[in-house]
Amino acid sequence: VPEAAKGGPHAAIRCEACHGPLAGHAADPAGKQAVRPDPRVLCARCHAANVARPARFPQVDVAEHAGGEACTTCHAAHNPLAPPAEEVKSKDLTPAGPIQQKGGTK
Amino acid sequence: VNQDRRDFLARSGKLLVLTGAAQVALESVLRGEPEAAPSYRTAEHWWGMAIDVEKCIGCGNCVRACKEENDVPREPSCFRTWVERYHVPDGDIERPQVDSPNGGYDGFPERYRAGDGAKSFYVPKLCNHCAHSPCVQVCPVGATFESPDGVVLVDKSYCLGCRYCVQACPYGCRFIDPRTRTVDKCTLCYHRITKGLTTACCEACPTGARVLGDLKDPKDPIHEFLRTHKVQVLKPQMATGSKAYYNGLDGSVR
Repeated sequence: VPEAAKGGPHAAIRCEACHGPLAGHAADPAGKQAVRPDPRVLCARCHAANVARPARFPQVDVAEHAGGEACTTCHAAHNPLAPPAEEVKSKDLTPAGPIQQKGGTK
Repeated sequence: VNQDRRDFLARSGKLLVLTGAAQVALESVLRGEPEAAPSYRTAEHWWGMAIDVEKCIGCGNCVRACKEENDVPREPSCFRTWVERYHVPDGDIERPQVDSPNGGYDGFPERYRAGDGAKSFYVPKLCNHCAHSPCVQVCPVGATFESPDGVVLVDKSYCLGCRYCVQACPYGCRFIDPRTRTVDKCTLCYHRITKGLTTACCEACPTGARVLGDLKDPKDPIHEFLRTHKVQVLKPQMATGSKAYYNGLDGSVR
């Protein structure tokens, strides 16, 4: 997965910023998979329009921009300027995980 | 002897590669006592943090990562780091509106409108790891101290929970842990930085708005940051020797 972010605006973000603690995954990459957070909550944490965010930071009014659609329908999570890969589209994107239990910015 | 050949080779290989000091260092780290490791010498480090207000997007990743990493109580009165939102009416830096819902743990619901004649921005806060800490000076039992590598720490086995230091910290960085009734504060993830890792908050920050720096390491990028930015510390008039250097800090921030 780290290769997928290369050259994109998310390249400098470390895995644990979105996926939560990954020490278990680092010790056993095949056995313990990273949590896949709900994009509707996770992406909005940074990209929901908010006056206090720096103006040059990319932000959208989530309801108007996506209308309830998952962000990853149109954007690849690791490189959001590109469309998602086909095999990602078909996966269920809303499993239970610790990161999406707390409310997002909206 | 219950030892197969693979095991024997792995052991002797480790001994060959890690001789002397390195072996002792590895053992100390594995024991959870990295400060006893010869490879980490407190006198060779001087920790601080560079914080870029203009990069902070108020996502709350640092707050969540800190609570998770350090087992900080989830109550909204217990934070080792938190994020504040400032809303400053045009030109009136004496009266900013400041809010920090649950320290920013759940993010910031939009409260203000664009074009209302005010400016808004986020300010991440944490212990400033002062070189001349007011909190250390007031402790009656010497439970809190400045480590030789510039980190303000608490020995909880000495702490009486008297709260003098909570009052003394001009930045509001200390709180009483309701479970132990002793004081708790940011340790700059001492268990991580002594192993060569960065802090949990810096690890989780998606925009690089906060970066740990070793001020004694001439190759650390923090020197470049301090050279190329106009930085300020919080409450410089208190001469605390703060080592949290803010870029783009507004005069309204307290």
